[in-house]
Amino acid sequence: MKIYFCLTWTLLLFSCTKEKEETYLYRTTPYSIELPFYFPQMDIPKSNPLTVEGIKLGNQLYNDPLLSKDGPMEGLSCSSCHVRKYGYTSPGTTILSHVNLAWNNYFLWNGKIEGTLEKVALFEVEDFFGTNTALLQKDIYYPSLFYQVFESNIITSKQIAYALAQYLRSLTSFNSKYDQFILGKAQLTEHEENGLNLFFSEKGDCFHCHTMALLTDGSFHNIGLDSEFNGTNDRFSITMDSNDIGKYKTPSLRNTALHPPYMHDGRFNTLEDVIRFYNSGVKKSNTLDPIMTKEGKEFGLRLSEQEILDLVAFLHTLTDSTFISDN
Amino acid sequence: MKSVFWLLPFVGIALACKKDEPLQESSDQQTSKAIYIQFVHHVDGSVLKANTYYTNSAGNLYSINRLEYYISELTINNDTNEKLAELFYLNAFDSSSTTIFINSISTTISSIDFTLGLDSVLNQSNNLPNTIENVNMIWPDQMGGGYHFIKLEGHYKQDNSVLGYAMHVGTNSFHYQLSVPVYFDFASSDTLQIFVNINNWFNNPNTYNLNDASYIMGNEFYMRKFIENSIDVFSSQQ
Repeated sequence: MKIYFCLTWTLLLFSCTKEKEETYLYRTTPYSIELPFYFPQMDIPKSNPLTVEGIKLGNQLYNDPLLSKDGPMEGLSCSSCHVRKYGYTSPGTTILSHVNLAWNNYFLWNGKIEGTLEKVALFEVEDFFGTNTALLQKDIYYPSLFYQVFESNIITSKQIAYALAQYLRSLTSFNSKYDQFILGKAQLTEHEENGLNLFFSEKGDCFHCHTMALLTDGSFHNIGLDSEFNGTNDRFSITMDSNDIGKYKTPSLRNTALHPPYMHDGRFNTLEDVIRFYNSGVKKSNTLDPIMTKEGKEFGLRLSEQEILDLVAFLHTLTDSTFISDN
Repeated sequence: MKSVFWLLPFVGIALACKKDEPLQESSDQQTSKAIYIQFVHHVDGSVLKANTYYTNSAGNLYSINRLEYYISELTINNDTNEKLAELFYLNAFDSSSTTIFINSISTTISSIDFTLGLDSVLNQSNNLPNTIENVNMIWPDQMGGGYHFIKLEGHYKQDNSVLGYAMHVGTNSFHYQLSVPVYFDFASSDTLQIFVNINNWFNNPNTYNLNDASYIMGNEFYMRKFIENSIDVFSSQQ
């Protein structure tokens, strides 16, 4: 009887002790992003929750050329091509911006890389940069930073990728003048508001691909840039599905005014050039997106000069100064 | 004091045993079970494939690249008439979205009722959960707000040209209520298949010719003409 009594209390004491050890091992601070009501939910994998420490580590790695030392991209870091003040891309290039990637499943203009941010980041670490983890292991600061986040004394490619993924997931942009207008905190000018109405109506019809909130549907479309597509590195080059000929990923238009040129090949130098293309330059092909072939607008929107300028004015309201100036 | 401590473990065991009495649950398990409702998309009996050309009753040779839609207010008509009052998003090219799990159905089913699209209560801007799918189905406020009820898109041939069509239906006047008789063997089956014949959206009661209107979003005449044809799109028999 006494043994049974002792056993019960021993079990209770043991369980209390175990809980105390788990609290002691917790080293990271959860990080949450408060999204506007109209933004889609963000899927965050349980294996890589957002933490203050993880994002900070990812930020440091993002900007560190140590990631590429001894590799094929020696001397470069992520931020070498994804420059914050240009909306995390490079001016004069067609490099896609690292904006709101948390909602992406496909990456690059032809969607060649697909999957979670963790998977994409691992590709960057192992293949693109060829990161030598031993160099980070020998660094004076990284071992303790990695231990704080991952509770491991050995730095692995996976951990580097997970930290980068956390940082990329934190790069959210939803504080532009357009966003403030939706929230009732800012006024648009007459031209900007005309442009907004053109964007989200049949006249401009931009919203079908550049959907609300993210300003991209994350899908692939042939918008009539050309009538033939040979060796153009399009979506077909990846899927080999003839239905994908001439299709490229819809880029987000957030901060678009910061980083000309435009389209997958950079053929348009200004936003006005882009609108003029949609207005009267669409070329027919068998996979031209159905949205581009509305009756009366088979080859373009046929907007007036003022309407073109109003659309451009609206696109400028998508610039988020806090995204490019505040980490 | 010692006698109280001695009693604690035994009290715990006694309480645990009491919870395990299954008498009431076993009678429910005999008459109710979980089922799946699987929407199978086809074109006059041919399995739906992207970039494949089909012929409708108007003689259009057309392909289908996108079919997304909502069904809502789903009611299972059986002895207990179980109304699910839920909303389901379906993408004909994403099999993960075309099967609905129903947790518990008691007795066999005679028909299912549902709304194709959203009624005026549901169809309000930012009303649906902010999933990527729902955000991409938004109908702009500038055009009435709410959501697209259905997006059917593809290409069709006209003489020697390939043109596009986009049947986008939305706004509060154009949801469509349906009642589909079903033949479901409750005892032996756990999957109820609903066949979606896309060709019938061009047939009955309105013969819909894509040459008349290949893009209908915001055009009330053609949205009505198209959505009325939903009458025999859904069936429990192929």
